[in-house]
Amino acid sequence: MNSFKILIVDDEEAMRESLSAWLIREGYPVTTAESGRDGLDSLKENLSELVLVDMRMPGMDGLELLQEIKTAYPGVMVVMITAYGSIESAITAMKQGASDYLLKPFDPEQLILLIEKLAAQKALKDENERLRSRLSEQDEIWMEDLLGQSSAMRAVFQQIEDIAQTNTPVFITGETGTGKELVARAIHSRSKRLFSPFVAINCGAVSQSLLESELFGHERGAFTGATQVRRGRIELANTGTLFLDEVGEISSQMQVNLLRVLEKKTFFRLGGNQEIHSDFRLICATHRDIMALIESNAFRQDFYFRINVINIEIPPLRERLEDIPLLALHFLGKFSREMGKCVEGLSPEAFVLLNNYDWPGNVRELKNVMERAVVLSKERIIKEALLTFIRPERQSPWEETVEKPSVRLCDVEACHIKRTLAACDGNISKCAEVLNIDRGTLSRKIKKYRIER
Amino acid sequence: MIPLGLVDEVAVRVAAANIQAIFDIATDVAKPWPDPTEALFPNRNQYNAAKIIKHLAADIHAPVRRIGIIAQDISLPFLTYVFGEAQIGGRAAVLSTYRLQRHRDGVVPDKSLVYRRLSKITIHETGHLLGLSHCRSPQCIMNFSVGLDKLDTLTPSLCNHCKINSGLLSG
Repeated sequence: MNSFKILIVDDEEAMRESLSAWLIREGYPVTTAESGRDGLDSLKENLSELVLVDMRMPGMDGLELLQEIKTAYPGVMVVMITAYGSIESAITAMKQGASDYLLKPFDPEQLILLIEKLAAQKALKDENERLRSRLSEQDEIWMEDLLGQSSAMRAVFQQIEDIAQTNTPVFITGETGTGKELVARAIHSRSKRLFSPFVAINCGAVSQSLLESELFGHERGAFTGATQVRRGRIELANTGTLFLDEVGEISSQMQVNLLRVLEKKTFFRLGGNQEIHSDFRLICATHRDIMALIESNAFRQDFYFRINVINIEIPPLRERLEDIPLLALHFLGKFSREMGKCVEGLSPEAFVLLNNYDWPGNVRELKNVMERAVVLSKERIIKEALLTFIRPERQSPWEETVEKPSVRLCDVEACHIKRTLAACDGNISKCAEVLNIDRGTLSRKIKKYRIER
Repeated sequence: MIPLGLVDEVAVRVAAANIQAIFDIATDVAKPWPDPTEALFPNRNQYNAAKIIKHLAADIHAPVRRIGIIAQDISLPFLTYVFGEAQIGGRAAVLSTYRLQRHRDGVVPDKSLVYRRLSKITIHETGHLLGLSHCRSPQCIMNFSVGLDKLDTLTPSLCNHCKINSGLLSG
């Protein structure tokens, strides 16, 4: 028997009987009701996918019943059955949400085709909903690594919830491995754009010329090798979210081009003369000190203001020590399941080791450490010995150094140069520019303090 | 098998022979009943198939089944026409030869085609009487629901699934 249930509401017994007998033979489960009120009671007891409603009935007429059904059960399809001469009310019914109407008497072919069409529509809708729910499940899998009970992470989660429903550009900052893309995906999956694409590109991973073509797409023949028209990431992100990771690596010229896109929401493919519209939400992320880049003119301030409307700062793992055991156990459970191994926990000494480590690679590093530990583990509990490849880092962040009352000036200077050099990706010229000193002077200091590039 | 009014005698015999041959059910041709004028739709030159069936089923006692055959056009209150109508698992059905011998474009088909069509309609409606619903198997006669074009593509036989469900084959 078909699962597409049909309810017939008609005050004429002969009509109800013959139509239901006919549909039952077609293989549809059918119930009948002799009035609008009975029809609503019937739907309450046993929800049908389709209701065939006679337009003219005493008491609640077909149009009233249609309105009641559409209010209480918006997903239920309604087909009005009407006689010749009352086609106007059939059109009114269509405007009020009826799926179709049939003029009595109708051809058997017409009835079968209509019901098959509506059943196919329902099946498509159900399939769509199943896919959507699978998409949500997929998102849950993505999101499960975004964990934390620290106040800093709870604040991040709250911020995600607060801004997800808006279209405001978001700027995510945080060290490498803190989970910037996970936060961007979390914003996307909680927004109205959920079922539209999340298009991500790592701007630091491609050359500037390739990045331009990746973002804007190109027409056929736009450059040597452009044998096909290609849609860019901006176009692909239409109605969805565009995530520009490592946005600090974008050249000034590209920033100007993007600024124009952000303001007008339109752009041209490379080599194209047709303006293309794209409605996307922009989320950018960087691990670089963007203010230092602005000061050194490596990053445009106007572009920064445009993309940094809302800033989410993801704290490094070492600043949220209470999340380390939670994350460690989460990854341990995840990898144990994946590898089919029975690893249940970590020894107290192993926890101490994890807590004392500096985690320069943040959550990503912790994840990798746990994966390796699960691979190597031959016991149910991971012991300290399995984690000896992580060694506590020297505890000398710049802030701690300058806060000490008796710190030497040369230590502060060395620390500051090291930090700025790291922010400039080891580029001495850029670093010298940021520090506003001569390149040669900087080179000498780097040598003097034995700073590694 | 009961002719209702004036019906082509050969057509009646063809219908009865098919029931006997396909379902192995002893089939008699009864004397014609009068034209069921009380089943005429007001303002439509058609007979109400549901009313005819009720009339045929009125005084039947098991295990007899009655199949009426009529030369006039039949339909249901909500449809423009039907070729036949039957109670599923019931006692009565009705067949019409009217649309089997008239094409929409006015062309009259030869008699042998009309009888082939009637055989198929008879088997189909008898299948309903034996409790069969429409079937998804593309070649099964119970797959048919509407249209002469579709009817002409089918063979006058049941698929194994429908044979089992109608008791012709043991499952």
